[in-house]
Amino acid sequence: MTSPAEYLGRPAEVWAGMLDDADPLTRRLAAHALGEIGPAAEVVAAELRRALDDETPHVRVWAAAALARVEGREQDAVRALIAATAEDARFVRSLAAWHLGRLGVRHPAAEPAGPALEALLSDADPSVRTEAELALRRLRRGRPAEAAQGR
Amino acid sequence: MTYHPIESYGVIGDMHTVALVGMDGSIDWCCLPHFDSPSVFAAILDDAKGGFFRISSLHDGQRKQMYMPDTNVLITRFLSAEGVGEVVDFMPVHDTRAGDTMHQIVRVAQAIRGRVRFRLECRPAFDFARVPHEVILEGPGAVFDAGATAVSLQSRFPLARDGTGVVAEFTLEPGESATFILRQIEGPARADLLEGRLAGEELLHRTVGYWRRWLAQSRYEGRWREMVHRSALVLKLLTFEPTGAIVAAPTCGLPEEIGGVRNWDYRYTWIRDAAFTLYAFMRLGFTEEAERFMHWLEARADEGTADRPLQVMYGIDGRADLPEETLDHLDGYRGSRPVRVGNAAAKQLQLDVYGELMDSVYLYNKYGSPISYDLWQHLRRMIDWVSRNWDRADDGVWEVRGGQQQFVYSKVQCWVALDRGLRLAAKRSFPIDTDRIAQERDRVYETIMTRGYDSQRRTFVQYFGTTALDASNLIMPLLFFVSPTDPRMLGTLDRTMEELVSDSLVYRYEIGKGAGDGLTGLEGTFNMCTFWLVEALTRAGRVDEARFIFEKMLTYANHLGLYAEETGPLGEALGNFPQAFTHLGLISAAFNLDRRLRGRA
Repeated sequence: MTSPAEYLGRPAEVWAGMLDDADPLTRRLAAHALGEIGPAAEVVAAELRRALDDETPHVRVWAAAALARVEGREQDAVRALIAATAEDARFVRSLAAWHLGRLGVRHPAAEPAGPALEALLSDADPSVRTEAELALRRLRRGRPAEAAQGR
Repeated sequence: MTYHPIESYGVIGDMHTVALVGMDGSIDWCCLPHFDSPSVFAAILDDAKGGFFRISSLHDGQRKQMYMPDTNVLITRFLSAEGVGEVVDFMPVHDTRAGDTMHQIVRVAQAIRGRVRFRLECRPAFDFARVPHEVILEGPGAVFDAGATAVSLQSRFPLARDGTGVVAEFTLEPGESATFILRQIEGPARADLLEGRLAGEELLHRTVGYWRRWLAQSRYEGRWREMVHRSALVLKLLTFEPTGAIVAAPTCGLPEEIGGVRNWDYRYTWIRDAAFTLYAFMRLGFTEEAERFMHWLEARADEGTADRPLQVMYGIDGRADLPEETLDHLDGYRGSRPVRVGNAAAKQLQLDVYGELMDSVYLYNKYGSPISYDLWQHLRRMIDWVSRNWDRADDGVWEVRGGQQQFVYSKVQCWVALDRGLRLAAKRSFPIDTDRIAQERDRVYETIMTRGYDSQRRTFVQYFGTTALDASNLIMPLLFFVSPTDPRMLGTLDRTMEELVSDSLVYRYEIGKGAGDGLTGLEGTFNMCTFWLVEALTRAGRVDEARFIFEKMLTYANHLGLYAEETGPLGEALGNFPQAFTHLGLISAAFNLDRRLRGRA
């Protein structure tokens, strides 16, 4: 198994450097990599936090999701995800909903996500509505499951 | 990667093609868009460059596989102290008649218990690793573009380019799932490849529903129901939906001996399988499948020429030309070379196919629908051809490449062709030269009884003039050629059990004795022959022996109830996988043995 301090054999510092890459897909990958590394990537949390202001909306979503995993109690990350639920691009709204649902299981700061996700239930795009519905389901059942596992 | 045992794979499919999924979550075989298309993943034929698509847990632990009950939806489970993860694999079944030609493999990774970390690695290698491709990373995944063919991989998680493939690692929280779709389309619409929502749950629901509705048509209520139904599900999976034809197996090049040269391409339809296929489908109540296969057979009969009314095998689309080539750039499964695609045996003379075709038509007319006059015209021409050619030497049922012989099995099937032709004509009052055909039928019979029987060893033999045995003679009572209790048959049964049976499993013939197959090396026991032995014993009234051998044979299936063509000395699967012939044999043997056991109870 890959070392928790690495993703695909590369350390957090290397991925943090890629957050400045010209290609948004590379920046997105770097954000995901840091999220997978998790708390061991805390040394580069500042770079990740800067990526919350990335010019590309979906990179901002991935950076926010990663920051929540790296810092554990990061309110800013959740706020960034909630903000992304109002983006123009439907795939970004859908992506933000998915990430909010994913975080909800283990992240205490995800509580305010509920109203934002409920608003997406009447989104014009069916895939956004579906993601919001799934995310809300996860948020609502997440806490008991987490408690049962003693986290 | 290393080569995994053949029996360690499960199979999924959409009745156009299949994918083999290993216990490690790796798809190591898939041809797109059809069974007989060039490969996209072929790691079973070359672990270094064949191509694969793996999704597996990164935690050490046990792996298990199972099908969702009554479906061809496969679950690979990863059990570890950290958590339990699953990958659910399936190919949605689509309706080509509605113009839907999308072939897709859906893979749903799930964390069942605990947090589970997965690794995805997708490395296609187009046309048996002969055609290079470009990797294009896009927002929701990647496109692998090989020019004439392209596949896409939709993924919610970002993919990293890694040479000719892509990789990703991702963590799923308890109860969370993530869907990945590998999709191929025909034509130039590359832009559509990554379109569409990743609706894994919806596709899973639809696919499970399809398989359960299909299997609910089964009328089988006897013993070993799960194994019989698994065999039926395999046969359906091997059916090419647009034509109703069934491939002998969905793979090529899996060896009959590890490191050996008997590595054939089975992704075609053998006429030989016809009677068994129709019998199996009709016995279980799947009349639509029987009817569609009958139409496919009718089309082949329609194409026949005066000097060769029927070919041994055809492409699933009915094409007659299956040129054979060897893929010398591939390592072969565990070094089993050469890997062959195409099949030169298509042009062999195998007289038995006429008996097998006529028997299937006879069964269909009796238990399915009455055949048409136009079909009878073709059949009559075929019957006439057999009556004038049955005494020719041929290449035999096992497609030996060591020279033609007067094979007994071929003669028996010529007798079947003439016999069923006469019976069918009488039953339907179709025009036929009854006297002449009956006279030839009787000549065939007497020739077999005089030249195909060794009165000293009290057994039927492989071909005229030899003392060698052949397990194909076990089928004689199934075809009503001889009574199952005829002393000649009982002698053959005993002799076969002494000389060709090893721990209940049956070799089809003795290599090095009798007709040479023109090749070096050995092979395993032949699963279909073991089921024929069960049937011969059942019909001879030796039911306890039959049941013991049948139930022992069930233990040689893999963990999912699947069989290859052969079983090796260590109980390993050998040859192409999974094999229709074996599963057809299982259904027939189970049906008849169960019926006999019920009668005795």
